Amino acid sequence: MATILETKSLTKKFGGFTAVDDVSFSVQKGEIRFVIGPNGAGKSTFFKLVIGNHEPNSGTILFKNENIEKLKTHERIELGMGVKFQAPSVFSELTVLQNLNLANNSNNQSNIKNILKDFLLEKEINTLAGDLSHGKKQWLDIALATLSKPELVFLDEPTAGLSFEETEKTGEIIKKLNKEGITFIIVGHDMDFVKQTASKVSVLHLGKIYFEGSVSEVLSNKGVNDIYLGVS
Amino acid sequence: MIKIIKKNKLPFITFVILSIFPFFIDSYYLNNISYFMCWTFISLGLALIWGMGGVLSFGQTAFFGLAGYSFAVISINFIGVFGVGIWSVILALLITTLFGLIVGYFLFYGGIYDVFIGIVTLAITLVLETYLQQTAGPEYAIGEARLNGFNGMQGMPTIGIQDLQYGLIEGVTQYYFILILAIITLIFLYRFKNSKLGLIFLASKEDRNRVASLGHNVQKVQLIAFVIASLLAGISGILYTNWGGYITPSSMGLVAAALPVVWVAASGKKDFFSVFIGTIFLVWLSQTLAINGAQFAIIVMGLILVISTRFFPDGIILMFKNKLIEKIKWLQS
Amino acid sequence: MLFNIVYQFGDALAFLLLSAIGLAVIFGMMKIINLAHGEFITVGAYGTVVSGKVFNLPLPIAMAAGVIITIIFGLILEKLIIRYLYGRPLDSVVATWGISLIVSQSFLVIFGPSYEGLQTPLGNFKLGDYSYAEYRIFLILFAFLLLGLLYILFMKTSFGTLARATIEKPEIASSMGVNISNVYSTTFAIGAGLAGITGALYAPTMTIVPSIGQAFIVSAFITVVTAGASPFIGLIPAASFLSTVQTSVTFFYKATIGIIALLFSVILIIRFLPKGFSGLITKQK
Repeated sequence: MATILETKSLTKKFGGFTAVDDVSFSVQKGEIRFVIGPNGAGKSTFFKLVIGNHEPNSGTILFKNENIEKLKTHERIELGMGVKFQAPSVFSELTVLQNLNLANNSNNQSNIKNILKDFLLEKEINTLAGDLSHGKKQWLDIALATLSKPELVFLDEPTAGLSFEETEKTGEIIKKLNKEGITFIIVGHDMDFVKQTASKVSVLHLGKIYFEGSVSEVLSNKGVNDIYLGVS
Repeated sequence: MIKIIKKNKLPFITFVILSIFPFFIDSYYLNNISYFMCWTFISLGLALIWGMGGVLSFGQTAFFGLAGYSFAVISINFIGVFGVGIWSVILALLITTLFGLIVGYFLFYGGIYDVFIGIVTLAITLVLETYLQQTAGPEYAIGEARLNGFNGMQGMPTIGIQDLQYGLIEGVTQYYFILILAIITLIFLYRFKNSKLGLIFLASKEDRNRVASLGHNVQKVQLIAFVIASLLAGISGILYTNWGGYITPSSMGLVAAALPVVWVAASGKKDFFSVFIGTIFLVWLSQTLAINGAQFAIIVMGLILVISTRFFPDGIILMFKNKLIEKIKWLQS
Repeated sequence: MLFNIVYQFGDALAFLLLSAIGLAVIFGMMKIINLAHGEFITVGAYGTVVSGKVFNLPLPIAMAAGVIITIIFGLILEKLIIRYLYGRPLDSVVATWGISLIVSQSFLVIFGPSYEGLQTPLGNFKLGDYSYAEYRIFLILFAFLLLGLLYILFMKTSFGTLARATIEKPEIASSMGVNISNVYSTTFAIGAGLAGITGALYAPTMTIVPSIGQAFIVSAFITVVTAGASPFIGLIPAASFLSTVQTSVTFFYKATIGIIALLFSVILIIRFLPKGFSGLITKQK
């Protein structure tokens, strides 16, 4: 199994506060890896470091075994990444179709036809993204991240604000795309969603990796439960 | 091509009408319309970067003036040389575009955004104006061409091809030359807007980070648009200088810099054709008002700017255009 | 000779500080880009001179009148136009630019290209070969005093805290019962009033022309941008830096090149020190 993403001793400080503390992390191709942890654990900062929105203070990031720290965000994306940030960021003044065209790296419209089907957005093709319901905005945002079939996709809270059925549907779509060859790294809080979708889970706490394992291992770990309850 | 016409029936009709004007309109009025059309290019450039991409530059007049002055300096130094009426224009535009590249690079790759783009570009145009204003003495000359301080430069040859009937850009030739240039510009901008580059630029107005996270080099696209806008501003500068036979530092001053912003804001910065028509109308309006005093014209321009920003943020001309198309079904695409 | 240089420097410093102070409140705190700031100063200057001449008022009263007129002018503008532009920074630039065109040209129409001014108050004194105006020294001191008072007002009083909180988080303030519209108007009025004070103070020293505001607006913006996000921390360092640049360049070349140097400075500051001097200072802490 090939390692698709690896970080070595990645650290990020903001003034006196260490958000990401010496994190060495690796994901194999084909995984659906969840990164969980209480609020402030450093999950979003970690994503931003890998994507290139923040510069690390130290450490290395390897994508498909190549160092990417010197690359700008759009260059890393071009190498084969996709990302969906925590706050839904679709282009509200553009239509769904325009949004998707923006994310499409080929002239082929079939990518778009398929993704509209997958995410149930066929009827809204000419609707302004700003007019979509919250759930559909989230799906459009995920669609933007996965449209060009990148090898590795980061999703930060893809089910935030979604109903139970929408969350389940999201899990199904992710698993389908995973079978088609996309490796996922997902930040999520919804334990049902984690149970439904994850192949492996990493727990972040105070900027460090606290524990890693399968879903059942993580759920039965007392330490993990404690940190969520704020006990340790 | 037919498709473009079908989607833009109103502009098409407008240009057909404009192209038959010379057959029944007096040369005096024709020259006036030429004058009004000179200004449409700087407006269109600003509409491109501001209306599409949210880049509000206050200093488009810097490129206007630079092109005018470059053309003046080069052509005066080489009067009588074969083809000077053409290659001096090309050189001047190259200089202007290069300057646009430098400024754009400084802005976008330097992380300067939003209101600060306005301040930096305004500072640039004011630097040029301030410097040129005090170049009155004979020591301020480039070759044979004296810069002449606040009086500006004159005596440049007419652009075009000498010794060829209708080759010089004046009179009826000038009218058609500018009209055709305008049509080409509008078609180009229309196609840019509908291209992938255009979509990236459009999206960057809303959320630059998200655009980058979809794999696009936002700064490069912004730079391209900015350079196009500087070229267009330069075209206005040369056409203006050619029309009147002079260029002065005040064309880069505080009031001059405000005018394209007025025209674009009042016309409807998101629609190129509205900006074209609106600019012609507003330049005509200020010329007419200026008969009662130049200050009066500027006051009205200021009022138009305030009223359109406060009450008609989408643009007054665009509003009328949309109403017209709504009423006349046949105009719809 | 040394005193001469210090005097020139102080004079330029006072000019920059007083130009900037009203704009610092409006732009620095409210983030409204007020391109009509120069015209507020013009209103203050004309208000002073006209009321002084027409009603034969002693200078301090005329100045007070000028300031009051400017405040009223500012309040009217705020109620009619400015308040609709909060949160729309590009539109507020555009609209205030329109206002500045209207006001500057209207003054030209109403009062003509120049208006008979007032005498500079106080006297001169000699030091070495040069004679210096006492009034300009007064201006330097007054500038610092005004800045100090503003600092106390916005940093130490409850009004100041309320104003700053409201401007930063209007929804929270309003849900706590604050009449945010009043807070905005009052803060804008203070900014206008300060510009009026600048106009009133400089009125006796300049030829009264409608474009008086233009001389101030460029300096004001350059200073405020250089000062950065916290005007009270950054204004004095910014003005000191800029007046040094301006004084030395003017000394070696001439006044217009001094202005060009200032313009270049703001371009470089925006590029290399985007948070201005206040950003630099807070980072050091």
